[in-house]
Amino acid sequence: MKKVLIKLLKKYKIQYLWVIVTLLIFQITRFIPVQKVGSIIDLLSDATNNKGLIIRNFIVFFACVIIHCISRSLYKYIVKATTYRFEKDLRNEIFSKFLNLKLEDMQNTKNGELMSYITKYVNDIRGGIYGIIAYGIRTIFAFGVLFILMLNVNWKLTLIVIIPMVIEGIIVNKLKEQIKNSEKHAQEEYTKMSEFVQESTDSIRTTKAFNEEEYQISLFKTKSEKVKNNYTKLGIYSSLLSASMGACFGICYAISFIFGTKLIIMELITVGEFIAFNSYIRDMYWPLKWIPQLITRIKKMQVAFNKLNSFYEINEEILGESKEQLVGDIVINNLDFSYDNTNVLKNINVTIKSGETLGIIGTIGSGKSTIANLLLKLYEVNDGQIFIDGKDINKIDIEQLRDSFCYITQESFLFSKSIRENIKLFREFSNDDIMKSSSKSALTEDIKNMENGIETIVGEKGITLSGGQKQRVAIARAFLFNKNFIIFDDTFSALDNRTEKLILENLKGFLENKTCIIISNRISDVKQADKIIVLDKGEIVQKGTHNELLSQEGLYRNFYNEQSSNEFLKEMNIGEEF
Amino acid sequence: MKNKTIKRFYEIAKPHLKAFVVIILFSIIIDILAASRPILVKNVIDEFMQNKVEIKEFSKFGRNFIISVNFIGIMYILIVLIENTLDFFMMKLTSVTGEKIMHETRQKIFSFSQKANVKFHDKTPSGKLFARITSDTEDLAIFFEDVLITLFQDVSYIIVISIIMLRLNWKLSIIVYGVVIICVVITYIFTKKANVAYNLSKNARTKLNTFLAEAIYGAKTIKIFNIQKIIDKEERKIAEDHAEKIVNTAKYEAPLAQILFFFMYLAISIIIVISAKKLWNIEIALGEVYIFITYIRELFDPITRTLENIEGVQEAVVSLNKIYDIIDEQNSLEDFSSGKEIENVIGKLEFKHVWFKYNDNDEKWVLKDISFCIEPTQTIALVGKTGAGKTTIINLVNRFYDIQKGEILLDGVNIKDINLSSLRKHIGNVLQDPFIFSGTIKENIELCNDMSEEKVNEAIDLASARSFINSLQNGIYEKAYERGENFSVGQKQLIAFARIFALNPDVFILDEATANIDTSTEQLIQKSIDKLSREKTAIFIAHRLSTIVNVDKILVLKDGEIIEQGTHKELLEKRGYYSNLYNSYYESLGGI
Repeated sequence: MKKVLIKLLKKYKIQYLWVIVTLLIFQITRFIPVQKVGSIIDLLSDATNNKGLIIRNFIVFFACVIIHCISRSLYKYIVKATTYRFEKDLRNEIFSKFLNLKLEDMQNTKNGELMSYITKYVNDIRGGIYGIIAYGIRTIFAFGVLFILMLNVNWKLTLIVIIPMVIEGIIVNKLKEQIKNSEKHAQEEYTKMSEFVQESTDSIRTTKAFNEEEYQISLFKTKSEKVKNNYTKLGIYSSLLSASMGACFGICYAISFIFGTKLIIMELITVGEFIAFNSYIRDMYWPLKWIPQLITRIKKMQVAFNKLNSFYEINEEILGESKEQLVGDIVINNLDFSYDNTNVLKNINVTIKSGETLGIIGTIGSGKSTIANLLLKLYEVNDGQIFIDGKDINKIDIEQLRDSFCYITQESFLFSKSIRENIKLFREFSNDDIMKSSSKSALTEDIKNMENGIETIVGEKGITLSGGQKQRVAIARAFLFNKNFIIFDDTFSALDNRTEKLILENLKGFLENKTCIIISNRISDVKQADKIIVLDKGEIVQKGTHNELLSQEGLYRNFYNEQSSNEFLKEMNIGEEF
Repeated sequence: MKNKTIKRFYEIAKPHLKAFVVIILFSIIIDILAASRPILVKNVIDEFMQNKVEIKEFSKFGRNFIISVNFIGIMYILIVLIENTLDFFMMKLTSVTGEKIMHETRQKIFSFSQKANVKFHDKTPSGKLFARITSDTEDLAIFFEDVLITLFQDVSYIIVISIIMLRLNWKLSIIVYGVVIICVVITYIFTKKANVAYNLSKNARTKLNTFLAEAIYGAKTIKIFNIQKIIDKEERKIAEDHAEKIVNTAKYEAPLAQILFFFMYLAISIIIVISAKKLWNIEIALGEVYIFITYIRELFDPITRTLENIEGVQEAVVSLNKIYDIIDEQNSLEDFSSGKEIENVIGKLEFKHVWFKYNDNDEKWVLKDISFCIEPTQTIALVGKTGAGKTTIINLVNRFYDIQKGEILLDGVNIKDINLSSLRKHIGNVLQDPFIFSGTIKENIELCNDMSEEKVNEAIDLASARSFINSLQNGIYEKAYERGENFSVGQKQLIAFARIFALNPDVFILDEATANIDTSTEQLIQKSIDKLSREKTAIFIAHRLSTIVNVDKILVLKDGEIIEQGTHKELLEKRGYYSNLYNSYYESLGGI
């Protein structure tokens, strides 16, 4: 992680240098005009005699104003451009890292947390860098320059004015801590309330069915009240902060003119110098307010850095070296697999030859999908072996392996892009091929009925597809990608019998010379397979063809009896429009 | 702003008028105090500093006063303290009032959403409602706490300063205002341009975040189809676009503040030049130069803030109207007050020539002339394709919608004449994917009714959910996550059955789960179903044959009409739609 940050900081070192240079220029030119106004005011008392001096001071004054404006504009532009480009590069790095993680590690981390890595923490790092520049360097510099300018006027006056400011600085930091705490509380209450609102707007039918309206309203009232109280508290602290700042600076002004008059009488300072001094006090206002901001940002950056650091330490997928083309034989040998200390698979032995179809059937949690996950190296094989074309799967390059497989999962994830994009999955294919494969997966009619045809956008901002449609989009991928190994994992569950039959028919020719695995808990999906294995609690309990298994006493026949009745009703009720 | 909008603002502000009057009064006093401070300093400069004295004699009102700088200093500090104390109380009052207004508006719209009918919820996406209750109300609070008050305070401050400047030196004031007006125009133009760029960057941000979120949700798909590299490239493209859109906003943002700074100093230098050259016969005392410089610096902040706040007003107007557009739909509210209370329900449910469509303007009827009768403790099952009208019938029994023609009778009383709460109290639903609230299992069973532990446990036993509950670490006090994510569909149904046993309604409605449920849970569910259908009037949308073979009547629906009815046996003998499907299915299986 450190290396990445250093690499990126190096990439932008010239820009950051510019940021510092422009920052210094605009800070110096910020305060000189104030001083010059003071000098000019003093000279004004005898304007005719001091004409030359006034003009000279005035030119310096105006030149500084112009240089200030230009350099400060440049600074603002460069600092924003650089920090955001830096953030982008950092995010790209983290995102690439994320894509290479093992599936287990991804699944062990909550989606929200993964999202934080690539958005929030990256953002906090940028915020920290920006804070160090805009609040850190600038505050130090502003205080430095102002202090020198003030000392230049009179050191006693400076010291006496600085005292209330130091006190205020401490008060501000204390109050800011309180503000941050109550902000946290308020936000927590707000989150609780909005989660509640989300739940109750989603559950409205249940609420109505059980006469829960008044109850929900009263629950909401307490939640909303808590939000109100916490935000009010936050408001009070903020008011206190702002009032105390106002009071402190007011007192500083009073002190400055009480003592200023004395100093003027003693002829230690001039009226012009006093007026300039007054302006310096005002310019202290913002840097004083920046200090707590700087502290918060740096703290946030530290947290983000540690988080990203541990994220970087997560191991990536093991690639494997063999890049030879894979054709079709799968041999699974004494395969055991456990996940979270529970045995998922026990002693699995199967051989599938090129051109064959294997059916895997079993109840929920019998370990069916785990076999597919292992074949794609989504999980690592530790105990037992899997050979593909005689090569140990652990030695096969992960990309080469996955490129040879087409695995259509239970729940097909669709991107919020067009149907076309979801079929071809960002790869390049001819329109013709896409149309053909969508027709083979019985999608043509559905697409025709959509407003924009195959360009219709799916998901949040587009239309919602039915479960069956989603599955058929996924199945179209199998036809389009035309890989040597194909796995269907419960892919036909939301289809009605006719559609399913049609697709299975289309698959028949397509699967010649391919190795295919069909995973399902429905007899109708697997009965055509060359070989069927029945899984129960991770073990193969039966093996054979449909007819062989039907003639035996066992789980398979139980499934058959149970399903034939329920499937009829499913057929009656679901029956997708076709 | 339209009249309607003003009326709406007035409506929510009305209960707090007193607070607003106090706030306005306070802010005027604060403004005057703040503006008077530089005058004191001016006098110190002109009267004491320039004359190099610490004590001076003034004669006013025919009397002589001796005033020292120290005295003025103490006065100044007093003013500062009073001003900031008032300021604190004003800000406190503002935030209290703003939060109260938000709280009240939130409650108003939330209770509206709870009491609105299902039709309203059908056409209002829950996300939209969520935004109205949470973020739009927040916009209102921001409006009352920040925008309105600062707007008022700033404007009155500008006015107070202007009056003082005009009285001190009207010629100079005009020059100052000339510069200020130029400034306002430039800021306005720049802000508009910056806003366009800003919106573009916001869109780019949304696009990036959506993409990232999808990449996380679709991580398995990405791996399976081996498209990491493509996704990575795509991310870089979108991220690049996002970064550059933000950089583009900096082009407008960066010079804006500096332009203001430039004009501020331009105004200051004009004043200096004038006083140096005594142009146009303008005589300026040193103190006046000080006071003008101070005021110029003080003017710019309120002016730029006012420009920003005008936009804030526009945003608040939009949010307010969004909220009220919902609240104003009074005829979407369900009527819970009128109607007959029913007790001792026997449970005879009858549909008499019911015609129904979801919207009166729709051409197609969803239900056409549906008539059937369920005698107490009888059970009927509805079968038919999606869209045939099964769910609609269930919705109508709950009176989620009102029918256009015909009658639905419970114990011979038209359900339209029954008090809505009372009706629903007697009907219990178990839906396909029951909604589980985040909270304990006990809370999910008792719902809004406070129940003893025993009663809840009794319900769990009746629902055969004992072994499931016992398998949980905390038993009935086990917490359910949001939407019961930590439970399977089967377990959620068990909880839903326990709800029914606990509340003991007279009519029982079941929409059987289609998802695969593990065998042991399924057997438990079956037990509950049998028990309930024996005791109560029941309507099933059945998905398993074992449920349907025992019912008293099956209604076969097609396109909103009942095409066949009878028991399973009768229907099979009838050789109609039902038996055809049944037979063809078994033929396709190859039969045994």
